Amino acid sequence: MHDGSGESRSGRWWYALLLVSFVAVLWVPFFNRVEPEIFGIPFFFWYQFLWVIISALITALVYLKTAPRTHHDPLKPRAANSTARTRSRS
Amino acid sequence: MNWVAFSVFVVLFAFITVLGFVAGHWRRGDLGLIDEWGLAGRRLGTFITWFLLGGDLYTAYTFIAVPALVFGAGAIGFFALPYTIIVYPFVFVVFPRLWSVAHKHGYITASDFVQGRFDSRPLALAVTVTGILATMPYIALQLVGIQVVLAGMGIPTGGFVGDLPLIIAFVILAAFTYNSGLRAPAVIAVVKDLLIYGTVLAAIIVIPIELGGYGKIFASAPLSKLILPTPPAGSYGSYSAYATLALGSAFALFLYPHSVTGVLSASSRRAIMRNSALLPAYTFLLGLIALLGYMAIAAGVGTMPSFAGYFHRYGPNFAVPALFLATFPSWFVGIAFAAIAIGALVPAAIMSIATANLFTRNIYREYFRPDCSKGEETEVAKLASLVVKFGALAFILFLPQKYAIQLQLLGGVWISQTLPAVVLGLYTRRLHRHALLIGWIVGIVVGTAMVASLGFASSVYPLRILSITVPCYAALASLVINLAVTVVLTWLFNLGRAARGRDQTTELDYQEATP
Repeated sequence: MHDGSGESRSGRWWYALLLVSFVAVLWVPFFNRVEPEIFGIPFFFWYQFLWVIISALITALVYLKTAPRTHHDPLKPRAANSTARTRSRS
Repeated sequence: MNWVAFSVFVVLFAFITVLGFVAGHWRRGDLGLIDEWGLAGRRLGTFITWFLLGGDLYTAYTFIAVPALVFGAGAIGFFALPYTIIVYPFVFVVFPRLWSVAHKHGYITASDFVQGRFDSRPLALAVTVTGILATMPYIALQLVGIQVVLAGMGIPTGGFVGDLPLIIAFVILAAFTYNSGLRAPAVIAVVKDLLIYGTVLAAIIVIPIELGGYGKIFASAPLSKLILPTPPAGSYGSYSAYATLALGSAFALFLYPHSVTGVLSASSRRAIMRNSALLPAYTFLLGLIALLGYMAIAAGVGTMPSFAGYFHRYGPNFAVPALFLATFPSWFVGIAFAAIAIGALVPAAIMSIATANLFTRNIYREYFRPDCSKGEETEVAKLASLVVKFGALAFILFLPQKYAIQLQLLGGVWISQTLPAVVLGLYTRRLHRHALLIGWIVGIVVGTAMVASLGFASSVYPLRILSITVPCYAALASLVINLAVTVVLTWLFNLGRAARGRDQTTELDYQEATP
């Protein structure tokens, strides 16, 4: 069964990772504090800056894990490859 | 009058003017087609989309207003960071679906999609009107950014002569947008970014050195501004305000017409997904810019006599210009101010194009000239973009600035009410079209009433849930009510077997095309 999106069912679990960023930056009581400071920068600030980077890395990871190009479905090797080729130019 | 800064400013402005006109020739297409004029032919790759969306979403007003909020109100202003962190996972999941279905059916606006999906002209009109009303004050606010930096260079303000530089800037903007369409802001966005990144990098290195390091900067801010105040008993206080502002704003951002235009001009859904991981670079930049608010506190610009008149006139919005004037040499002030002014032109251009697309496709063609030619459609869009811009200009010149700010605040509440139709519509057609329309009306009314009850000064409404006060962003609170109404009415309409209309799309249209 090909669903047309090139995503396998197990691949969809990667999407759950995206929720982590929401919890991390919306749970205010956890990071609303001054200590520990780094180079005089209160926790409140460096924690949120850090999550800019972590969240971007998570999104990149989910992209790499769910994009058909890296997904080796033994039944559909050609379909996956040609998708990658037609898209790579853009 | 600061002649050195002004000269640098004028040279850079002249440069991007030329660039704006030349942009029409870049990756040349038939500018007589609305896809070409209004979406740059849907051919922008990952790289240019990054610049375009970056310039589109992180506007000059943001760069002025976020540090101004931090300067004036403290840590609550930092909600811009979680807001622009979580928006990307959301975009990554949802908006490739919009790109695919729009690509397949030739949609150029969110209303096109809603019409195709739900077969409801009233619902599509609701989405159109919301988009236009929410964007207009946003364009007007971009002008505030230009106004503030012009004043900062000592240009006399007030009267026709005082307004002239702003009018000139806007005529230039209108001309190159008319001529080159979306290609103009796409190309100018690259230059704008070089200027902005350069300015901010210099600012976060040079200013802390002059002020004695980051430790000193944060130490000079009172604790009440450094972190959020602990909520009083029986209330979630600033905690729920901070979180709901971030979440609600994140939901709203990509419903704005100019965001949809940016998304649909991408050459592939992959370009959008990649940008969801790359655009946070701008979020990092925005965070650094927010810190300028603390630097302005530490530098004490608020009490410097030479700036007193400006702060009186522009309020905290003058914090960043004042900080630059106090710490940078004149030539660099010119570069920094040009970055802000050019940073205002890019989103203003995209917003006016997006509004013009909406008006042309979903009002003019839908209600007045259903069989207009493609050439006529594009010509109307180009004219509409002029009308929108001069409307925004008149707004700023003839009405008090606070109206633009209040309307922009309301715009965020209003645009959020289109989420059920636009975003949930990408996944399911189970919600009934009539229910969606009534939910939208209820959401708009409730949200507006909440903001009105706060005297249009704030959008954080103190909800009472049982015995606890939960300060909540009105956009999010009214969206929840909108959704509840929509779900209940869907059930009722289905019970009464109300007609559901015909769906133009199929599930496959939303997914990546298989070769």
